[in-house]
Amino acid sequence: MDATLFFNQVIGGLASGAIYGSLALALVMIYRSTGIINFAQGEMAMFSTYIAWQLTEWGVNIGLAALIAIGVAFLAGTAIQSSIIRPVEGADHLTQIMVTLGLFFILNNVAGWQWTFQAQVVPSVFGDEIFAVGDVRITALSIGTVIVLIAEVALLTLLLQKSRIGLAIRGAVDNADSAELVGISVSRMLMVGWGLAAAFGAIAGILVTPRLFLQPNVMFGVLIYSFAAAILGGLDSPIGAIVGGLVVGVTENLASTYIDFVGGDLKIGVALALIVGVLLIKPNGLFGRGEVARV
Amino acid sequence: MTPLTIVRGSPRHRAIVAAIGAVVLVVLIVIPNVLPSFRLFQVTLAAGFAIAIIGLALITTSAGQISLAQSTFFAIGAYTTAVLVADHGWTPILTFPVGAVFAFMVGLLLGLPALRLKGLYLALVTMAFAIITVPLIKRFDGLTGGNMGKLVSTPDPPSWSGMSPEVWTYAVAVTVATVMFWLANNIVKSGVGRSLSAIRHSELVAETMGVNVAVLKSLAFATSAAFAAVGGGLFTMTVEFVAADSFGLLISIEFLAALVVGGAVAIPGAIAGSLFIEFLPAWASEVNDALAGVLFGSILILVMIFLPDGVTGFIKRQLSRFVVVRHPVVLPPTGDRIGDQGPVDGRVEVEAVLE
Amino acid sequence: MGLLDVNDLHAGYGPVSVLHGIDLTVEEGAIVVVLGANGAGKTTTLRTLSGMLSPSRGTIRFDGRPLAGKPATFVRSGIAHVPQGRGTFPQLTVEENLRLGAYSLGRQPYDDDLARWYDFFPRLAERRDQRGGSLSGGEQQMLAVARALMMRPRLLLLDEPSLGLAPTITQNLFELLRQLNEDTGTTMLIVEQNANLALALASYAYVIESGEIVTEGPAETVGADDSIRRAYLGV
Repeated sequence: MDATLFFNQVIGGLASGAIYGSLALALVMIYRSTGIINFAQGEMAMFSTYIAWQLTEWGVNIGLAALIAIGVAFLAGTAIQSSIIRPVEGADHLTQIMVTLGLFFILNNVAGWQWTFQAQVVPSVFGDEIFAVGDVRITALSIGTVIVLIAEVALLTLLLQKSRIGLAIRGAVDNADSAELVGISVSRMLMVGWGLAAAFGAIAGILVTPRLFLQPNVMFGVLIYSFAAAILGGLDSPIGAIVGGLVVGVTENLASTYIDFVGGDLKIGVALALIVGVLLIKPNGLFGRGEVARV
Repeated sequence: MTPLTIVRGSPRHRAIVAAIGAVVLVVLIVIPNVLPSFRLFQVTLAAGFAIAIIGLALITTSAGQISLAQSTFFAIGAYTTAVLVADHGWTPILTFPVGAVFAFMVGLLLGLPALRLKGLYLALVTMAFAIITVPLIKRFDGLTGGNMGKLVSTPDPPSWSGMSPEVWTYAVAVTVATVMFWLANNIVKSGVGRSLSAIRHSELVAETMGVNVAVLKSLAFATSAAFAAVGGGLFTMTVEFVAADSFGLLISIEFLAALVVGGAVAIPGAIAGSLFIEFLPAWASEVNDALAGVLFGSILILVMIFLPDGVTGFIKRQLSRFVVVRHPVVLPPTGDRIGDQGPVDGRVEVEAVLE
Repeated sequence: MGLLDVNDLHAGYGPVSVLHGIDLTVEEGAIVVVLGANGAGKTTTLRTLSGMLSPSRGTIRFDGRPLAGKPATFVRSGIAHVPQGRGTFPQLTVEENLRLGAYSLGRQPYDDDLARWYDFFPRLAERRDQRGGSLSGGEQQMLAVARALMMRPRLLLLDEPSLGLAPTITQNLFELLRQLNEDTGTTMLIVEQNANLALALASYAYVIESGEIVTEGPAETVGADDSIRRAYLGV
């Protein structure tokens, strides 16, 4: 077995996995705070990335553009929650799913109309350097992505576990009525939850598009892998999202390299098999705690 | 204003149903004579979609399951017909039952996860099936024609019909759709349908009432798959061409969208929904490509927020201000009636609800 | 003018009207009890008084000023509602539950309050890192009361605190409430089905039936009146 190939694939898998984990984190945030699976998470990330890209086209430095786009994403997330998600909060799953799918169509087509379906080049926030460790290649972007992911988890954990507003969010999720009775505005907490998730999604989009190139359909594939990551890790576990993401990334790469049947467009079968497998065998995933799935 | 009450099964009711039936028949006959060729084609397509949608309704509205895999079964039906007609010279209509049986069996298999998963999670698993379908079709391109697709020339209509090919296809589609609607209606109204309804409300309760939940859910899922396959077969017969990319997740989403927008009243809802997904995107993309998607998504969201039981559900509610259809009342034997236990003062025990 | 003045309160859920004109007054420092059977409207009344439910008619005055709007408004005025069934945050620890109780205090330090209520409810101190949902019924009730107290409330609303609790635990709880009222003067409005214990604790009582106050009076009077007990309290 060729060690270099193996390590390259593992490194590559970890880098992709960090992206999946990032978007999975957003999915987990929304699932934990509102119990919804947001099928439009990828499109929201894509749209935010277009905003960052458009800013760079106008001469803004990528770092600043990224920050602005993330801020806009946060606001947009709160707006989306309060305008179209809140009205269907108590509704059945099908209704909620259809709303997020409707959002998917809108964002995808507006992006296509505004910026065409042509692939665009997005500059890397971490520059273009490539490091070599022996024969194994690691891009600065990959390293940066993993660091950002770790920072996201740390921030999220700190926020949720140590801050007043984090406690309020957890309370709102745990028992919305009691949260109201202690003076928490549950609707405002949910908005914050969606805003944060949108921001995380934006980060994921900005970090992955230098490699995948930006076009309206870029995040759909990523979304599927992120679903797999979130489910593998446990839909209510931020740590699970990260671990799940890394596992999915590495598995995807190794499977497509070493298993002949899996190649090219059947690569996504890995993610799909994970989704089905986990939900059938251990629906809570690796770290999930809530009561999931089972009838 | 108190609504007019009509008792189901009464002469008045039967007369109204007959009248509606007559109007529908007239409309169906008139359509091929007044619509231009392309519009007729679209209506024919919609008929096929409506079958897949009513199949979806069987498990969604009836048993409360969310399936994003309808496109997979639609594809099975479409490709069964394609291969049998193009490679083996079968008559299209005869291929539909074959596709249906095949889809039924696959549905039983894929429906196994349906047994233990609910809501969002079932949606994700069925979504996975839908996504893998296109690459799989491409992988077996010897049979399916893969990306490039497969031409399927449907044979000429029989001479006794006196119809042109498009009209014949339309007639076949509408007839098959009618048969499938009748089947679906019978399923829902039967004991099986009621058991499915019980399952949707509470599986636990249904189980204690003696409903074999697992078997029924599997059969329901498999049946809805069979319906989708019939729709798929019609699709192939109408379009005369199949290509892998036509059968992706998007189709499943469109079927679900058709179901929820069309609404709660099963058959009219399926018809309304099928017309929605066929005509709206086509019309909108004549104006602007992106508009189709934006309009589609917006309507979806607006309907979910403001008309949660769909267009037909909304219409039904409005109509029920004027006309209400109720079942004939069957009184239990004396001694069991609520009134026999003392005065009922019509108060609602809201306090208990809060516990 | 009491601390709380309720006038002609009407409220319900959608088309169903539950309260048909409730009038009540709670003097500052008093313990007032509202008795009634299931379905009489007790919980609905409390939900209106904490802002969880908007009245369709009538006024609520707190400290002379009209009160209406979202629960947060009521909380800011100093009304703490201990809901039926405790309303604990089951996934959060005891300490986190109490910290949430202090949410409306904003940035004000509340460590002293924590210490004080741990002192008053030593069982909670013992379990401070345990999940709220893992406590026994009686402990959860104490947790719910302590959480409400963290708010430094002027008025404590308690919805059927005895529900689901064994008699000895209920007695213990009511004794704690009495002591609390004595030590701190916290005004309490308690809604109960358990007439005996409640009447022993309260100074004033209302009886509610079918969404209306059918009788009221000093607690001993109401308690001693057999006709009232038989007619409305099922005793």
